[in-house]
Amino acid sequence: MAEVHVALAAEKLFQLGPLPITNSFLTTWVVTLILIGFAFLATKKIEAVPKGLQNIAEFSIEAFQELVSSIAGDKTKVFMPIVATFFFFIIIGNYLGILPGIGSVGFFLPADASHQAMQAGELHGGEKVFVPIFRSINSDLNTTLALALISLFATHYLSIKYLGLDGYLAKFFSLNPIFLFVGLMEIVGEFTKILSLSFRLYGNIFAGEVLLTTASTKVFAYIVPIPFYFLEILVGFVQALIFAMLTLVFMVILTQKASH
Amino acid sequence: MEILKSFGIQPTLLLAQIVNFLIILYLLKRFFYKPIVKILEDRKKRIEESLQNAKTIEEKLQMTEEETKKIIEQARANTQSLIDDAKNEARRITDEATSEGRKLIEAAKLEAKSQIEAQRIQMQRQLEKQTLNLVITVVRKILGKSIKNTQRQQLTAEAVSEISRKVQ
Repeated sequence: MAEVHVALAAEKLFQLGPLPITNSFLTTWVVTLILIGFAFLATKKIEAVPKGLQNIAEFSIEAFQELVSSIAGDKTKVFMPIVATFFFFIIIGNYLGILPGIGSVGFFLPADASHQAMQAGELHGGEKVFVPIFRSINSDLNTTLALALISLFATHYLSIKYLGLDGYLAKFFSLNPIFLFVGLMEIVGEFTKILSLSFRLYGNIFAGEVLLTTASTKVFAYIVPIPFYFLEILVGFVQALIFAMLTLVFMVILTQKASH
Repeated sequence: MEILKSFGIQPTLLLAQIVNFLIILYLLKRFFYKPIVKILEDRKKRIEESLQNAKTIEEKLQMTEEETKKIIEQARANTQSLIDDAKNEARRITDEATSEGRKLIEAAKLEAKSQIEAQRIQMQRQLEKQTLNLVITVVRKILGKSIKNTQRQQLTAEAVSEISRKVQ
């Protein structure tokens, strides 16, 4: 019997040139469409007296502006778009993953066709595995790693932009041996950021997927999963906020002049 | 790298995700945040301006109110002085009229007195003249026959002279 279970990696649906299209990547396109569509509709006819979508857009952007300016001050104009985009992208992705049909509508493929999902020893050749068409984007490490890399590169780019190359290097390298050691630690810390940012998001959302799948297939499909859905709504929001806020804080710290 | 494989990390996918996100970031920044932030700032500016205007208007209103109060106060003072003036004028006119009337009455009284006096004198004269004529007539009648002509003439003359002396 082919059981519904959540694979650690996203399953490949088909190949597009050199690009393997996985189900989570397909969902990324959906998220992109939703975001761009919303942005287009909200700003299609901007009026002095807002109504409809423009209201929502104004509310969320204003909230972000206040949040960012309370930490970043006069750099708000540069930081806000990046931070807000992280938040919107992640939260739309997370909430899309909770929707019914995402992760549960799919088809069965021969195990060797979806070899990415295959974990050694778990599947035997010829056995069919369930491949959902859509998969929550942040339950794919590719997505979260991409986000973490962008966050880190943006942070360092802004640091160089605000401090200049020498100011940027002075944050990590110093003639003072103690500060040199601290600087080296910070370099290690920068790499750790990639791991912590990507795996935190991936772990939370993937765990949520597993939790929901288990609750609704192996335990009892009615009523029981409802509290978990509420939990996932909360987690989806909190994780998006955490990613955005951490990016913001990293940016603020790295764009401040070295105190030593 | 075995662990990356088991998580499904593929360089092409990773790159695709990065590019995808950068496109989203660019599009949102250009077509979403910019216009919305702009309209938010515009609105903020307009609200500030409106508040400033409201403040100015209120100040002006207060000034106008004060001015109005001042004007009313002034008008009241003016009215009071006008009323006072009028009262004084009226009193003066009344006084004048009263004294004039009194004078007129006095004069009329004097005139009347003198007229009455003159009339009285005239009447007295008339009365004396009539009495004299009556007496003359009575005397003529009584004395006409008995007294001689010469006597009569003498008597008459005496009487006339006496009466005329008395009358004068």
